[in-house]
Amino acid sequence: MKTTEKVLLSCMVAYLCVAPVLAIDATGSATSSLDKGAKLLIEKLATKVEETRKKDQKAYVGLITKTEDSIISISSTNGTDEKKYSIKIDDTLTAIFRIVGTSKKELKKADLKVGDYILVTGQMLNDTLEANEIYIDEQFLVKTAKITEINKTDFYLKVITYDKDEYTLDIQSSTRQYMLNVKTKEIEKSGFTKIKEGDTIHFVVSKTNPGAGKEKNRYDAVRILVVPQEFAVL
Amino acid sequence: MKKETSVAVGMGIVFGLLFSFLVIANTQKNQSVSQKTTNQKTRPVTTEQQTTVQPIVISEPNDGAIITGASVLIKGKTDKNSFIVVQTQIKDMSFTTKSEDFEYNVPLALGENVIHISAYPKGSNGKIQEKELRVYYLGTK
Repeated sequence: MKTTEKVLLSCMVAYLCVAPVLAIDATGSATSSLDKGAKLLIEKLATKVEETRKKDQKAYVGLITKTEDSIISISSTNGTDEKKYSIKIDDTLTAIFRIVGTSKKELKKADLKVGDYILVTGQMLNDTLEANEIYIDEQFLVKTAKITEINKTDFYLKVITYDKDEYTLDIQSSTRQYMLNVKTKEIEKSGFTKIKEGDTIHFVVSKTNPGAGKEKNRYDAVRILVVPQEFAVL
Repeated sequence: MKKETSVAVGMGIVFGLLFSFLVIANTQKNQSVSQKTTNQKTRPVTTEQQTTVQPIVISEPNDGAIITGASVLIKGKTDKNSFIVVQTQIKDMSFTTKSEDFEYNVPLALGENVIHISAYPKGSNGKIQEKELRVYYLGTK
């Protein structure tokens, strides 16, 4: 056998030995990159599902109208639209809290009373909401209106909303009063004396705590923001 | 049938087809022109006396949504250069829109948050567009 033939034969033998090993390596790396891709896809899918679940999570709110054993009924009114829900409380699974400022205090089922404003999270099954968490909260009303009357003796404002609802707002020392500066367009602290009839008012009142001895649609104002009638967006 | 007759019949058919094709094409053209005119008629007209105001639209978050953080990014659409007032039970905020789309970060209180958004559109003489949404921040577990 000639030298060239020997070299050629050795090369062929070496290739036959090495080729399968290289092929296995290549397959392995391809499989691992495929695994990584699949894992990444699964993670992305899981994140997306979690995001969608959170986005679709909804709270049911209303005033308690009836309590009996493990079922409570709530009624929610939005304008003229009234919705009623039955809520099932599981003694071991349902957590009940009262929201107090920036914290929440754990309560028992017996603490839920007719007239409480509650938020409920859970699963709606056959028209009954199986509650995971119940929160007793304060119900606020946030509105925009025109000031129609100012009483400077008893410190109240009569206002009318764009839906033609009339409210009386008692301005207390605790009311946070702000006014829009028409020149700078900045919101500044203000006082009762600067308010004029015809100004626009953005107000917050508490339906849960309207103030002592109030008639219908009369509330102690929690906060007001007055936009003077001179304000025009040019 | 004579050769001349067949030629005349054939030409008649060809001319007939050509004529009907032209009539159909012309009718379709006229229809599209009349539709365009109708659209132009129904388009809102803005005059100096009467300003057309685009209603305020909130695209995010959904009304009644549970929010996981202590603030929420409100995304919406209204007229460009509108003055917006956002009021909640804990804060009053305001800004002017630079384009039709706007977004604003609103801090949340624990529990129910009533977010009242009012838009004072440019040149609307105090006519306000309003939108209200309720979102819920329930804190950490």
